[in-house]
Amino acid sequence: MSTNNVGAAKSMKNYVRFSGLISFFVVTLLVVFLLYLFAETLVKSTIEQVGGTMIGAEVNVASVDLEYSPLMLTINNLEVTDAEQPSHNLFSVKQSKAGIDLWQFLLGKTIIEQLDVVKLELMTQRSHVGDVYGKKQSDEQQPLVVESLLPAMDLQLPDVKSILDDSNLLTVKAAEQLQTSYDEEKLKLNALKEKLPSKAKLAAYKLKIKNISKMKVKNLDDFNKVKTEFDNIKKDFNDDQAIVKVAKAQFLSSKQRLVKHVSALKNAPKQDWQTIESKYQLETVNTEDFAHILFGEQARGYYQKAEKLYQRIAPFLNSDNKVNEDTQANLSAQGRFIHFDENSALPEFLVKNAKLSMVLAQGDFEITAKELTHQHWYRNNPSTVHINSTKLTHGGDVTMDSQFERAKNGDLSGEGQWLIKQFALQNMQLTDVKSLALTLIEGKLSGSGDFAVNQNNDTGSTHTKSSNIVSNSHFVLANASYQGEADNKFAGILLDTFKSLDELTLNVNVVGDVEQPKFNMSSSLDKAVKGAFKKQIANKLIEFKTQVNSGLNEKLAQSLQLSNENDTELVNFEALLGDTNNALEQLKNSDVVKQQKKKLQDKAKDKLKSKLSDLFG
Amino acid sequence: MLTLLAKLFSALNSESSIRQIALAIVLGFIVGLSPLLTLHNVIILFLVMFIRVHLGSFILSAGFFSGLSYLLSPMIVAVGEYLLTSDGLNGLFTLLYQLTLFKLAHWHNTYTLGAIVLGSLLAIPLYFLSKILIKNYRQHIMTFFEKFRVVKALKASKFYRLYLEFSGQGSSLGGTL
Repeated sequence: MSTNNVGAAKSMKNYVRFSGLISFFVVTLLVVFLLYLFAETLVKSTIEQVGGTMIGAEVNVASVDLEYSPLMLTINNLEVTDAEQPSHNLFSVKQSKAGIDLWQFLLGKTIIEQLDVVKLELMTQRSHVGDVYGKKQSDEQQPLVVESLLPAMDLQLPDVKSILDDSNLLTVKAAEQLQTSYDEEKLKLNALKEKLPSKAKLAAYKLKIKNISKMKVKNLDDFNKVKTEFDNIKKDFNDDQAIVKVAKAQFLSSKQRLVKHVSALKNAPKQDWQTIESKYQLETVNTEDFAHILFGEQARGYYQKAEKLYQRIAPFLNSDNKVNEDTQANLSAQGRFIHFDENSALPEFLVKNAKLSMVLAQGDFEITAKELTHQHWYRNNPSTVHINSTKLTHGGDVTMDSQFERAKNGDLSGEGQWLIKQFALQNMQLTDVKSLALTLIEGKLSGSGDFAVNQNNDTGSTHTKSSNIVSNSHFVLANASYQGEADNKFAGILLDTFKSLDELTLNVNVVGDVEQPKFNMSSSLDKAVKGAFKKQIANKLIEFKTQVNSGLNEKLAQSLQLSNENDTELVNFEALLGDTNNALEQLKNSDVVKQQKKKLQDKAKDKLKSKLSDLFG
Repeated sequence: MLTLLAKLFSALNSESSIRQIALAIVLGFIVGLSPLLTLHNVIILFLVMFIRVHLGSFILSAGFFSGLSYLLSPMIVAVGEYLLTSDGLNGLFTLLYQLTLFKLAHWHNTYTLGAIVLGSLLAIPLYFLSKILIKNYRQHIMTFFEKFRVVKALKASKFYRLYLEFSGQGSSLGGTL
């Protein structure tokens, strides 16, 4: 070895230590060994911590088993506390086994080839009350208020006398108005009547005419005098006829006004009855939707649960490159993976195949799912979920098929169909309010339905979201028996109707915004209750209606009797107007002038004849 | 822990190169900021073992900055989030994303990238700052503090005995105490 080489080696040794390589490998192996040793504990702790942060409540795992070739994670006895009811689990799983793609996991993606979940149970009692982290859920379910929806009306009908004494009745008002109008019009007509030519005046006119007719007409001057005299009287006739004309016009106007009020009076009892029906809800039985009253709140309750589940899942479905506020705020300190476009890319999270066995009070169910992810565009396959019952406690069959898909722009679409056959229901409380407590003791439920959900993300400047749901469900409940208590006759009728039903059908349609949908329900119950209700109250209602209407008609008759008396006066006045006008017209058209003229002419003729006979003998 | 502290003080007071200690602090700083099990931490660990840097300082620095990273994590994540979601850098990251090594190093994770970027940027000033501080410590502070009674009391403690053992002065100074 030359001196230069020795120097270089010494210089090298000043900067590197070759023994450090051994230390590095030793340390690395030690780390790997420790990881291997504590991996299961680490995974268990991570599931509990991250799960707790995401759910907002305590998550417990009994143990975790890891197999490395291929990588297989087994979680035993997973319990997730319900943040709203910490004494219960939101869900618990006896064992879940996931085959994970290790290479993809190292690259930051979770690809599960096969997920097997054994004995998934909902709302099981916890051995100890779970801790709840952070803020309490604000979307607590509002207590269902059914009481207000049940008709308050019983079969106690209002007192007829008090109704008829009500001064606000239209019949009373219309009668008063008619009387007032008549009094006003009478005053006007009386004033005009005073101005009309009296009988004496008309007799005087006749006498004058008679006197004119008796005037001696010897010559043309006498005739002119007769004519002048008649013209003078004719002027008086015209003046009087003008008064009659004004009186006639006023009479017509008054008549029209009074006819209008009489008509209103005649219609008033009918309108009064309608008001009474509406005020005392006598027509409620014809319009009330009983299916809505009884099942509406329950349907909304079930929908609220489904919607809450959707809202819990939605943040994870939306956790693409855009930060989801709530979840990410909790996990902000841990960072997140951001994935970019690549050839043959995979989603961040994907369960290729999943099989879950679920245990509910109603029986055992099996759920099989494929392509569970929130980034469907990578593989262009929708997530599919199939649920079917394997062993229901009291027989029957339940199946559901659904699929959902999320587009890259955030749009979410899902649809599904479900079918229930002879599903046994037992001891199900339908309503428990003061007026009616109703329990379904047993029954066989069958039904079918479909649903479609869409959520559109406007990626424009406004970044608005719109969601829409359309769901149609049809249920048939057969072989049902009910038990209940009612504290008024109406509730009693409802109860009896239920008990008498052979088959109850219910159609529920849900449309509109996912967060504020509109419920539309119809049921065979509606028709049955309406029929029973009508039958029960028919006699009482008819009696009540007769009494009220006869009272109203009596008021009408009284008013109309007065009106008839007033009408006679009006008829007399009309006759008077006609007579006066005729008399004046006759006087006006008198031929007294003509008669006098003829007399003059006759005289002239006679005179001429006498002269001619004198001349020609 | 006492052993590590003793090693650090031994290094500070000994003739160990200031650069070696400063580099160890800087590498410990980068490791401390990042999540423990990352590819770049393995590489740094390899460098620490292979290159002559002061191991005790590295371990202490990594431990100290690991604790500090809990406080800094929102800032670290924010840096990573900003870089990875920046439209201007999208092309670059898409290109890098095609490399398996990039993904294996988890540099597409907001925390990891934020830590490596923030650590690398602050490493340079921290290196020079460490050098200045160590130099000043050796020149002024060490002699200044030795005057205090409390230091004299410390010299009589177990910690000081450990320190002497690691500095190799145990036999000579031990006799004088």
